Order: sequence, then C-alpha cells, then structure tokens
Amino acid sequence: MASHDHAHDDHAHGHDDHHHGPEKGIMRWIKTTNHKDLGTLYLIFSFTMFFIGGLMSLVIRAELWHPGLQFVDPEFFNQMTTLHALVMIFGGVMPGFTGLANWMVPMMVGASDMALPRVNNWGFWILPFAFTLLLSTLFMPGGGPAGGWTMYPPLVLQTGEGFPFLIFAIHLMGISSITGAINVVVTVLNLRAPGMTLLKMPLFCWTWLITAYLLIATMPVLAGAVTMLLTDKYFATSFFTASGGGDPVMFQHIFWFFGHPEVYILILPAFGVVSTIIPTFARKTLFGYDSMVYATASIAFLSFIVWAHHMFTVGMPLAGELFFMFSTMLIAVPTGVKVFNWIATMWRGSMTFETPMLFAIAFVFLFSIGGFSGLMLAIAPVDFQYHDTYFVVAHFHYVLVPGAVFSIIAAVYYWIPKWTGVMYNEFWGKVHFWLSAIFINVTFFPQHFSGLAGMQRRVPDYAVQFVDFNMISTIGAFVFFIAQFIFIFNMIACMARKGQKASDRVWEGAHGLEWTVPSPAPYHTFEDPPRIGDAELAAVHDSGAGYSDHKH
Amino acid sequence: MSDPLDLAIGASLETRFVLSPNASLSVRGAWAFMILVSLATLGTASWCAAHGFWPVLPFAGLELAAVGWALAVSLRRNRYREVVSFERERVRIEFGVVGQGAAARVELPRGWTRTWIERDAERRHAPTRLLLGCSGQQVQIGRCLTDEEREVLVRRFGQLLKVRFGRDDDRAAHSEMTLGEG
Repeated sequence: MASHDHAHDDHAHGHDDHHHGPEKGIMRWIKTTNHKDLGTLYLIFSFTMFFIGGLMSLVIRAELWHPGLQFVDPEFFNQMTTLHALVMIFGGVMPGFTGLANWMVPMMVGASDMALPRVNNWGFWILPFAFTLLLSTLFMPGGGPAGGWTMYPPLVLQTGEGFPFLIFAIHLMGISSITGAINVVVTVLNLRAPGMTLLKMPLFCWTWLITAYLLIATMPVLAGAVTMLLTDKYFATSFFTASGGGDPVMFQHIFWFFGHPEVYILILPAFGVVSTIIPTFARKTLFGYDSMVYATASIAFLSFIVWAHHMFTVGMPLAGELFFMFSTMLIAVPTGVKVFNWIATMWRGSMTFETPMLFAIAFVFLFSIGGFSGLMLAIAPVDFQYHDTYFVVAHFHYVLVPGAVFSIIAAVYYWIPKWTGVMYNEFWGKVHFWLSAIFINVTFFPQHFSGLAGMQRRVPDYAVQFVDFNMISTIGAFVFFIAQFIFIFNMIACMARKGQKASDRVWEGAHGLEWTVPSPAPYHTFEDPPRIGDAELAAVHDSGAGYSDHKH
Repeated sequence: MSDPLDLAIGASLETRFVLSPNASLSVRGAWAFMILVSLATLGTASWCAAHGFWPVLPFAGLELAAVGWALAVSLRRNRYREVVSFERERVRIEFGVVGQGAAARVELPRGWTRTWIERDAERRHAPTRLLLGCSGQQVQIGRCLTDEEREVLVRRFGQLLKVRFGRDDDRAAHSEMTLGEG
C-alpha cells in the first residue's frame, strides 16, 4: 500500500489551516499580517496624522490672521510649521498611499497578500512609535524642532533636547517607508497573476513600483544626512560645521537629493489613482497606457537630477544654475503627457461625475496650476525673487493638497464600497467635494499674490499690506479643515455598514481584478492566482490591438 | 514566466507532472532589478562617501541587503515544486525545492488510486482542493495552482488512472461522479 519516505504532514494530508479568518479583539490589529487589515491601519493612521497636522496648520493660519503676534510666540510658530510639514509628509501622505497600496496592489495583481506579510506588520507598527517620539518633542525642554522640515544646519542644531528624538523618529519613518517599498516591489514583481505581464498591470501598481524604486534609492541619503547632523551635535564631527572644516551647504545638496525624489514619491501614486478613476467614469479605456508608464519612469529619472533648483539662492556656478533650470523644466514634458492623456481619456467619454471622479478632475485641474507655478519657480533668475516667499508655499500646497491629498480622498471614495461592501453617501460626498475644492483655492490662491509681493514664509509677522490675502487664506483653511469631517463621517458610516449595499463591480465602467471579487472583499482574496481575461485588461489599455501586442 | 502546469510527457502511460507556484519574477528579472536599484543607491552613496559624507554608505548597504534578502526569499519560494509521476504500478508524489531534491515523498498503488476535487461547503470563495487518495489516505496536491488548473488536472489524472487498467467504465463513472459530488 502507500509508503512514506519522510515526514510530510504539511503536504500529504488535506487541511485548511490557512483559510482562517481574522482574530478577535485588539490582537487582530496588533498581530495582523493581512494586507487588508494593514491597509486599514495605515489609512486610519494617515487620517489621524492629517487631523493632527491640520490642527497645526490652523495654529499657523490663526496666527497669520493679523500682522503682529496674536496667539503663539515665534518659537512655537516655527515648531508648528516644521512639525506640520513632517507630520503631513511622513505621517499623512506617505502612509496614506502605503495604505492604498496595501489594500489594492495585491488585489490588482491577483495575489493573496503582500509578498512579505510579517515585514508589512512591522513596517506599520513602527509608525505610531516614530510619531509619538516626534510629537513628544513639543513637551521637551527647548520644544520641538523649529528649523523647518528640511532641517538645515546650523539652525536645526539649535533644537533643544528634542533633537535626538527628531533624528530617531526620522530613522524610524525611513525604516517603515523602506519596508513598505520593498514589499510593494516584491509583490508586484513576483506575485502577479498568470498572464499579467508588466505592461498589463494597472497603472496604480506601476506608479507604486516606481515610487518604491525612488524610496529605496533615496532613503539612505536621508538616513545618512540626519545621522551626520546627530554626530555633528553630539560627537564633535564637522560634516556640516563650517568652523570644523565642514560645509553646511552640502547638507542642502544631500537633503534635496533625497528631498526632490521625495516630492515624486508623494505624487506618483496619485497619478496612478487618477489614471484608475478617470477611465472608470469616462467609460473609456485609458488613453496612452504605455506613454503613461514611460512618462512616470521619465519623471522618476529626472527627479534625481533636479535637486538644486531648491537652492538657486545659496550660490552656484552659472552653469549649474542653467543645468538645474533646464532639467527642471524638462519635467513638464512627461507631466504634460500625463495631463494630456487624462484629458484625452475624458474626451468624448460617457462621463458621469460621482465623487471620486470630481476629486480626480479637480486633481487634474489644480495639480496643473501647481505644475505651472513650479515652472515659474524653475526659472533661476525669477526664483531669486520667489525664494522663501508664500509663492513657494502656494506652489507646493497646490501640488500636495489638491494633488496628493485629493487623490487619496478620491481613492478612498472609489474603493471604499469594495472594502466595506457599502456605498458611501453620494450627496454628502459631493458636498464634501465642493467645499474642499472651493476652500482649498480660497486658502492657497491668495498666497501666490502675497508671495509675489514679497511675503516671507516661516515668519509669524508680516507687513500690513498682506492682511487681506492672509485673512482670506485663514478663512479658507478653517472651512477646508471643518469640511473634512463630512468625509470622515461618511467613511465611518461605510465602516459601520450603514448605507446601500454595493455590488461586486461597484462602478459600471470599472475594470480590473479587484472588481471580480465580492464586495466587501473577503478576508483572503486570490489564494490561488486568477486568470486575467481581456475584459479586466480593458481598463489599462487604450486599444484592443494593444492587448494582443502585449501577450508575450 | 513558466507555465505552472508542465505536462512533461504527453499522454503515455508513464507520465510526469511538475507543478510549480505562479511566479512572475525570474532570477534574471530579480538580478536586473537589483542592479538597477544598486546603481542608483550605491552610486549616490559612493559619491557622498567620496566627498567625505561616508555615513550614507552603510545605510545604503543595509538597505540593499534588505532588498536582496526580500528578492532572495521570494525566489526561494518560487522554487517549490510538486512532482506527480504516474509509473506502471504506482503513483509517486514528491514535494520539494528545486536544487534540494524531494523533501517528502508519497507512493500510492496506481491501480487503487483515485482523484477528486473537494470544495469547501462553508466558504464559497475558498479554493478547491485536488486530492489523490487510496485506502483512506489522501494527498493534497496542486495547492499552488488555480481552481481552473486543478479542474484540468483532475480530468487528466482521471484519464491516466483509467488508462492504466483500460477497463473502465466503472472507474470512469466513479471518477466523474466524484467530481460531480465535489
């Protein structure tokens, strides 16, 4: 009869121990390695950080309501500007996109989970500790860091006892980002379903793959830079200390070599989200899929060779300024390809304007405004006037808020019926959109004018001539902040399963593997790789001929 | 990308199936990615080190080690194999990793072996299970395949088990019935 050569219980006998559901209680969330649980945790963390960072921005805007000092002293004001940026970038936007990647990348490529689930768990749970450390600096002697999120020495070295906590927190955030990036890379490269070649992947996966590459390539630079700050302060090294033979300007070069790719780390996944949503509601395939991929890769490449446009005023050889000016302007080409493709996708589409689509369209429109002001800033001689003014603040907020943040919101509206099995309230979604779209412009558009007229950033006081613009900005900021509670309540209602039940393919024009699973998506999806039908590829390719071209 | 269902020998009596997990990453692809990311990371870190900012280098090394480890772990998982050999008198099932030989081996008498697919009665979306069984012993195979691939495989196994004895309206009917019940 049957004979056994070795112990082989794992293989030889039928069992189903890998088909378990989630644990009960708090331990489910602490111990979970499930990509959906971790996606939810990342998103909840992200929105918590958006709330905290938002409160900091209200402190800033309240102080700027009038010239002179109203509520806080300049030290605290600068701590708020610094921490607002760190919290929003590293705590809000990056974990927000990582949350979306956790939820959607495995479902989009037909994998049952991320490739390294335990690493995924560690990657998330580092974050709460990192931000507890960072925010705890506010209560330490000397207060929190106040030298700006760029941490330029020697100013940042004047931080009080919170300084090592700042550095350690940055390291932890970096580790978390790298674990997330490695997980996305391995998942996308190795766990794609049979038939899904790289050029058949949804664009969200492509943009995340390139984002992960950027993260892996640049994070060591940040880690090294902040470590050198630490040793300069506590171990008598002189990497950036001029009195010891160091060069403080080199910190700026090193920081921005990380910092500019970081800007694209914040926006490339947003491109992926918008490229997913627009075809769905235009009921057309995405125009120019391949060119979108190449444009994303081009933007990533260019992001490595433009860093010094942040530093035109520190003093550089003319040839250097010209190089960085032209290379920065070059980014407008692939970005323009993307904007053109989104518009071409909408052209003559059977468009409907549900909330995710409204946010996606607002993204295209308002991100383009941020892009244009970026082009203005790229012009080196002009940048000498704009540098360190509110024009820069307006520029990067147009890119990051109606850009990155709107895309995260759009993505949550778009996918939450799949996550919870319940439709959000469309009426309140639209109210949220219109309030957000109007008041984000009320907040930041006037800052272009005050900046062009010379109002300095990171200063709590200003000349009387800027009062009107600042009052408008402050009103905009408060209403925008309050409007976000509509979104939060709408999402909580979905999570509480209060609302109309969602179908499996929630949106009529939606294609992709994530829409082939039930709503809500089961705790384990695709324990076996699915087959990719042409219908599911329709979302990512712009012509039927294109599919066969890519069938290798 | 290799086909997970590798019919090594056609429809002859003695047939061998090599089942492997879906793996979209080849060793070559992993090396290509590793080289791409190393070029950017080490290039930058080396430039920094050359200018005296050497602390970037160990971080770059650590991070690349982590990326390399992640890719290696994935590639190692890709090497999992199940080999089902239909020999004249027996069916041999081996589980192992490419390059390390079989870690476990089960042999069933071919004449008494049957195959069927089980579905989870409680969980509609749970994957099916492809089983080879004989005298109360069951061996699950093809857990790295899709449901559709298991359906194809169970039919193929059914044919091979039928062909061996050539008699077999009864056995064929039994096999079909088992599938139907599943």
